[in-house]
Amino acid sequence: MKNIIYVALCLMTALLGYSQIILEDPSLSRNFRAEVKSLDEFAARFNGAESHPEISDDSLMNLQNIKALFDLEKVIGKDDRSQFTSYAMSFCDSIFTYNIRFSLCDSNVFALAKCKVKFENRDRPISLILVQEKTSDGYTRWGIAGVKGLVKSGIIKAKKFYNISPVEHEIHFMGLSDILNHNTHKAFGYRSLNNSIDQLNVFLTLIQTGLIEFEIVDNLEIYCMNVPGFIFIISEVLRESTNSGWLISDLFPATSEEKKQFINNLFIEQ
Amino acid sequence: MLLLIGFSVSAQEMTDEHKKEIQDRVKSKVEEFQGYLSSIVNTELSDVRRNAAKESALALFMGEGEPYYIFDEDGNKERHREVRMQISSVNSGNIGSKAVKKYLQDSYDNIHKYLKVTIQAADAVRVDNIYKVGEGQYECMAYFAQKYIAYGKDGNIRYGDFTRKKIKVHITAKEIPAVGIIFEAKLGDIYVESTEKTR
Repeated sequence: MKNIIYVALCLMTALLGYSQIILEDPSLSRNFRAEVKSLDEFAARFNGAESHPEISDDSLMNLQNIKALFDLEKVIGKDDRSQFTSYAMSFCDSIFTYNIRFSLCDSNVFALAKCKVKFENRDRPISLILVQEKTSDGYTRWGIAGVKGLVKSGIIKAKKFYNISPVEHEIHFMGLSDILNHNTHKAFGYRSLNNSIDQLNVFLTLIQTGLIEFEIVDNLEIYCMNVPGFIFIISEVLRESTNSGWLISDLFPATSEEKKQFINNLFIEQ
Repeated sequence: MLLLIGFSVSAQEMTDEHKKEIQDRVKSKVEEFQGYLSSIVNTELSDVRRNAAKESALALFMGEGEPYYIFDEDGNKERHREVRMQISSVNSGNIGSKAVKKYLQDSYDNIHKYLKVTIQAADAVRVDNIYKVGEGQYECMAYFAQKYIAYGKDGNIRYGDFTRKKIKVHITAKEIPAVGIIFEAKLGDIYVESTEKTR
């Protein structure tokens, strides 16, 4: 009986709650329908499967939809607006000429997440590069493909090399217990001169051992290199407008070689 | 008794019918959540009713707002923190997060400062990014937008914001004898982007 009363109370509460949701401002729903709410919706508009609600269904619909995927406030604010507009037109041409479809699960698409982690009781900025991929059994997943910033943020000290005594072999390297255990902050400096540091492995080890605590993602950008001749960046913008959500925040021309270099730079700490 | 069903189809083979069922199920859960949220801040309701709404809202979440365990594909117990809400303020650029349980409690407590609170919701909830993540297990995202206005005791607007909320939703497919497959939805982490309009 008590349960029935409780359920009835919950139902009444829910119904009364709905009554307080008042539809007053028509722009809220209009903007929300137009907003690119998810990258799924971005892909649907980019690929011509869905349309911005205020774009008419005619022969220019697909082109207009691609144009509407640009962050127009950013475009207007650009110093080199006319050049950017010309790039944007060539970008659209390239999409239609090569019949490019957008998918997050593409080897030419990377997510760059600028994050905060806690190390030795201090917040430190790092960046994670993530890729979406398919597993052998057909599941879609994100995986961490790279980490940047461990050196710059002071989590690892790797710029300097430290020497292990050249005579240490004679005593079967018994000094290692002294070198490695007592000045741990110098650890990476004892690597061979030819060895580079894999920051991803270091990061995951520090996470596994609990020495780094992941805090928050401050900023997220999606880097896309699947349109021939261009690199474009997608970011999420919130504003009360019919041009909001996941939008193209930047675009620049790039040859295949420049794209390769760009990807390398994404993974390498500057 | 509900039996967990084992689908042999891959994630790509999800039928349109199942996709639609999942979308409908998630939409109704999200609308239910919006309704409870609105009740929690409704100054015209008694504290008993607002509290019941808070408890009902928590019951929609994984672990009912507490840390929880699930079993991974190898049958190992996987520990999860409580469901959280991450709030990003467009005005200040600040990002913070709090447990959903605390968020609901704060929403419950805060209204005593105000004469009245109104929530206006966009007329649609979008559900997409539906992925199969295990046998009979799916995850997707739900999106909705709200305007929140709080009036001070003098009747003037004291606070207002426009928020866009995204909720991760965990779906479990279950088979009920003589009924067929149903999709159970539990809400997960929420990402909120907020633009403050007035102070």
